[in-house]
Amino acid sequence: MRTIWATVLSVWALCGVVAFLAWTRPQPGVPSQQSIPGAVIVKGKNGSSRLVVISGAGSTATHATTRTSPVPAG
Amino acid sequence: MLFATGMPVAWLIARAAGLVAFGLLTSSIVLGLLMSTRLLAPRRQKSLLGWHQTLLWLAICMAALHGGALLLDPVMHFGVGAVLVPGLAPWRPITVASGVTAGYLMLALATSFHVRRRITQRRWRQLHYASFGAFGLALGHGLHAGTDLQGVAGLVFAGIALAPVVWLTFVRILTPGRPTPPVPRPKAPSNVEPTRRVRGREPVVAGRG
Repeated sequence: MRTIWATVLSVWALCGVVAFLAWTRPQPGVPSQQSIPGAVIVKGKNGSSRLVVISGAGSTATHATTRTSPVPAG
Repeated sequence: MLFATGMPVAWLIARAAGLVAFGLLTSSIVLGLLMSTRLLAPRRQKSLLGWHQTLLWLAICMAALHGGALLLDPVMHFGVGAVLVPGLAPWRPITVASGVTAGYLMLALATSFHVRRRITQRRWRQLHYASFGAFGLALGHGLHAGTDLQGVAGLVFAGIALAPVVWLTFVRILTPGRPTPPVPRPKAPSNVEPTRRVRGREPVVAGRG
């Protein structure tokens, strides 16, 4: 009886943790950081410098599908 | 629903089973320390011993599920050898090896309950000290290899698990052990040579093969 109760409680605990992890999992497609435009200084051939503004939209898209899965080395 | 949304089911089960296995191992160790320190009433010792063993076996089952789910995870690419042999894992081999070793120690401890009569009480007790090693290895594995116990969450989790184990261990060390009640033995006849008690061995009973 004790074994049955302990097994049932453990399985419920497992299901609860799985549900919690699935619930708190970051949704794919939602960017985690706000896109911020950047600026770089580009030097031309004649030595003149130009300021180039890079738009942040689309450049910092995150791939959240495997965010919680560590990537194996090698 | 989970499969339809592309949820990494194996990865979620592996993480959850690892966390539950560590919780069960910690509970089993706390119960063992409660029995060892005799803080509870003696009439509860037998019930606690049963729960102690059951929780340990369940922890082993959850650890097996943890390893089995990792085999099915398409991202980790863990093979059977990586799950069963310490040090063969392609990802963080040392921390994964600590988890595998903790699993083997848990298995040895759980098996020792069933061969307790074959090995002496002293050796069984010495073997039982390996539970601290299993706990430490499992905690280190969870903190360094687990993705859910990074940062503050890991510290809180480790504190909750460590606090009762450390406190009960100190109680066990500092509290002098109660003398065990003497077992009444039948009075030996005067013509029989009294049994000799060799240190570290079971008493040799005269007249038994």
